[in-house]
Amino acid sequence: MIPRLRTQWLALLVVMLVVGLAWISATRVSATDINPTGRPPQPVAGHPAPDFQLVSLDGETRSLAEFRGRTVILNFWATWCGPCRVEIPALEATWQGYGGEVVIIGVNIREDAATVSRYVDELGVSYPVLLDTDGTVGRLYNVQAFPTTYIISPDGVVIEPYTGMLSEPLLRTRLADLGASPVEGVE
Amino acid sequence: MLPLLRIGPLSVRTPELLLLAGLWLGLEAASRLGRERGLDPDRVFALGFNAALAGLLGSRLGFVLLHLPAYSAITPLTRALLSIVTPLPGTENAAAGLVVGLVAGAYFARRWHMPVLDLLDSYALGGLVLLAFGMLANLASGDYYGVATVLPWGIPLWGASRHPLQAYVLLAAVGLLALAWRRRVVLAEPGLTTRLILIGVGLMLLVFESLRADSPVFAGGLRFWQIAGLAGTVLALAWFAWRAPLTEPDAR
Repeated sequence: MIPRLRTQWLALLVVMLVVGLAWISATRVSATDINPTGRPPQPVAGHPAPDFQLVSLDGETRSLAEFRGRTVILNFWATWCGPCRVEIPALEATWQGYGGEVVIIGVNIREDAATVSRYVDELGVSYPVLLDTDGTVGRLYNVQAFPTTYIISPDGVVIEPYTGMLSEPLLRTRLADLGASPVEGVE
Repeated sequence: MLPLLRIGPLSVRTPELLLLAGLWLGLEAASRLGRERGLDPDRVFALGFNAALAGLLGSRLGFVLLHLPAYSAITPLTRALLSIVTPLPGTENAAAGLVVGLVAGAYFARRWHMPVLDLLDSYALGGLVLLAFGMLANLASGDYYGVATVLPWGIPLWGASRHPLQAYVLLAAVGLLALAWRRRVVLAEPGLTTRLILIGVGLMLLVFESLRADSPVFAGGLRFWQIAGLAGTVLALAWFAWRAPLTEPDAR
């Protein structure tokens, strides 16, 4: 039955408001689910970033977990990728500008160490570069295009995944949201 | 999930493509209803398009203004300006975009002397088309995903069998769209279609958001879109109440 009079509509409004608020309260997200670390590791915002181990260009084995406590920018790239080349200066500036508070990890996918090493030297990359020679970590992180970047909070949670080129302002604003600030005099 | 469409060497982001298609088809649907209501369909389309474009620019401008220190720290100036205009996802402010889009829409509606309620009805219908395509975009990107379920129609996503929430909302939006279109003659009173679609979408948000695993939450776990849905529903009911008579006509 469709209400006709104003009082009937107002009564329906009050009922809707009461039922709606009760429903919202009943279906609110529980405290355990709000804690994003309670979720399974996935390369998705709000989930813990999946851990991995890879060999760096220096020959050391590094894991994502060892960077816990610092904001991590996990950047998947390849030497043949144009946009990757364009965004590298912004990543290097961020690595230099935040004095260790922010870690940039470049993960090169499916290329040999010599090729990557020449490229890194040419562009003056000083942040850690890891070699995902068989693409395992790329698959783990659902990398479907280059560059793909994950911003990971100090407690190891994916804040935002990006497919495509990053810009300096985007990096700065996201890092500011995470409480990281550039070291004075370095900018 | 199909986040990227590969055509030879070209990779296109599928969700954005679907959203563009949704905007176009939504404006087409709005134009058609507008024509039936005696509006100039080209102006209905143009107004919506201009408002969307203004909203897009406003969302970027809002983001830049909110993060002005980050942009002003970039040197030289040409690089900073390039950063502002480069189309990069993630550098938008939705609230600023909404405000600028609404202001632009109101400006053109006033300038072209368009009847507001008929215009709202047209865009409410077109909005359902955009909502349906938005859900297709979410299916393609894997966003807006449901909580884990053991139901047989669960879809494997992000390591679990999950409610196909995007499909639920898509079907509900298409159902509401079909109903509003089929009953458009009965719903000819200006503003009636808007009210009914507000209630429909509001109830959809209230119900379906409770099955969502990635809801934006605030104030200790309240789901933002449920609050928005309830607000929309209550607003539409208040509108009905305002339009309704105080007493039965026979009783006067």
